[in-house]
Amino acid sequence: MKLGSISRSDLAALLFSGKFRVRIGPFCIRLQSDNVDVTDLIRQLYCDYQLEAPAGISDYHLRLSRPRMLRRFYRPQIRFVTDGYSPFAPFPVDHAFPLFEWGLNWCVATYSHQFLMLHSAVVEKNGRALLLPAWPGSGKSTLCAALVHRGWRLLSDEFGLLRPGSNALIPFPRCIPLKNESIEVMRDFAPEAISGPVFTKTRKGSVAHLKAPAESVRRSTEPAVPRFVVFPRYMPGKQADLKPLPKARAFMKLAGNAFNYELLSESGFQTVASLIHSCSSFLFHYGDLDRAVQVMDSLVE
Amino acid sequence: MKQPIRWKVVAPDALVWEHLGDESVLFDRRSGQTHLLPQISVECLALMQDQAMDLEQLCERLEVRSHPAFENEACEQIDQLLRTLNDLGLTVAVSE
Repeated sequence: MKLGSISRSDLAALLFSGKFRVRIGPFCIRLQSDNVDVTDLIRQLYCDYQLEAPAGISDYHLRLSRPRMLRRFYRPQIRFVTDGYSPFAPFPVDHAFPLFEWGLNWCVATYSHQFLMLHSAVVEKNGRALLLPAWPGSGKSTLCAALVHRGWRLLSDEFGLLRPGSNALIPFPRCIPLKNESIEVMRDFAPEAISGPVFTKTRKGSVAHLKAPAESVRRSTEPAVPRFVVFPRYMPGKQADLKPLPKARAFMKLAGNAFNYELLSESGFQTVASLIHSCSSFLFHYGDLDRAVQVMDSLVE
Repeated sequence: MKQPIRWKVVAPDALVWEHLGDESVLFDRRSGQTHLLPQISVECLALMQDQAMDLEQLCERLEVRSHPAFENEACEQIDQLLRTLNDLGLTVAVSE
C-alpha cells in the first residue's frame, strides 16, 4: 500500500505507535514520532513509497523524541534515537524533519556495510547510470536535482550503493536536500518540482527538501548499470567543461570519497575496480545548469 | 667496501593489481591500503618480485641508461622511487 493512500490521522497513529514502516530502496525503515511537522512532511514528500506491514524485520529503528525536563517547554528540542542510541546533540524542534533525513543518512552510512557506499549522486537515463561523486559544496545535489527534472531517473542524491562483487547500482531514492542558493536556483529551473519548507539556520545553512519523482520511487527495485563517473564542480560564470579523467585517477578519487571503502578491504577494491572498468570518467566544471544538463544528456544519447 | 642495498617485494601474494592504462592501482592485503602507481613503479615491483635487486641492477634491467645524458638523473629517480616503495611498506631491504 502506498503511503499516500492512507489518511493523515492513520499515518499519525502509525507514527505515534511506532508501527510506521516504509520501504525506501533496499531498506525497511521503522519510525516513531509524535511530531506533527514530520507527519505532514512525510505525507507530502514520501507519499509514493510503499508502507510495510507493522510487524516484520526493519533495517533501522528510528525515533524522534522530545527531551524530558525543561527542554520540552523552553526552546523545545528534538532528539534522534536509533536502537536506543542518540548519535547527535538535540536539534530545535522545528528542525525535526531535517533531523530525520540526516539521521537516516547517518544510519545508512554507519551500518550498511553489506554495500560499498560511494558518496555520490546516481541518476540514470537510457539504461546508463551516471555517478556524480563529490564532497559537500560542489554542486552535486543541484546538478542531480536538475537532471531528475529533465528526464533522468533518480537512484540517489547521496549514496552510490553496490553489493561487493556486483556491478549494479542499487536505487535508494529519497528527497534531495537543497541548500542555500540552490533552493532558489531550482525554483527557477524547475518550478513544477515539489519541495518542503525552507528550514533556516540549520547546521548547513538553509535547507529545503525536493521530493523524489514518483517514477523514480516506483522503479526503486530496478538496479542500473554504471557507465559514467563524473566529478562535478559548480564554478559561477564558468563555461561547461568536461575533461576525461584517467581511470586510475578516477579510481582513487572514487575510493577516497566512499563511506566504507577501507572497511570492505579487498572486496571494496575489487568492486571499485569493476565499476571503473565499466565507466568512462570525467572532471566536470559548470556554471550554468541548463548547459550542464545538455552536456550530461550528450553522454547518454 | 659497503655493499649496495638490495630490495625485494615484501609479500607478492598480498598485492592485488589493477592495471588501468598508464597507471595502476595496487591493494596491499596486509595494510589494507590502496596505492596509485605509475608504470615505472609497476615495472620495478615486477622485477623485485622474485629476486632482490640493487639500484644498479634495476637501472640495467629497466634500460634507463639508454641515453647517456639522462643516465644519472634517471638512476637518481629510480633510487628515490625505491625509497618511496620501501616507505609504503611494499619492499624490504635484504642483507644476503
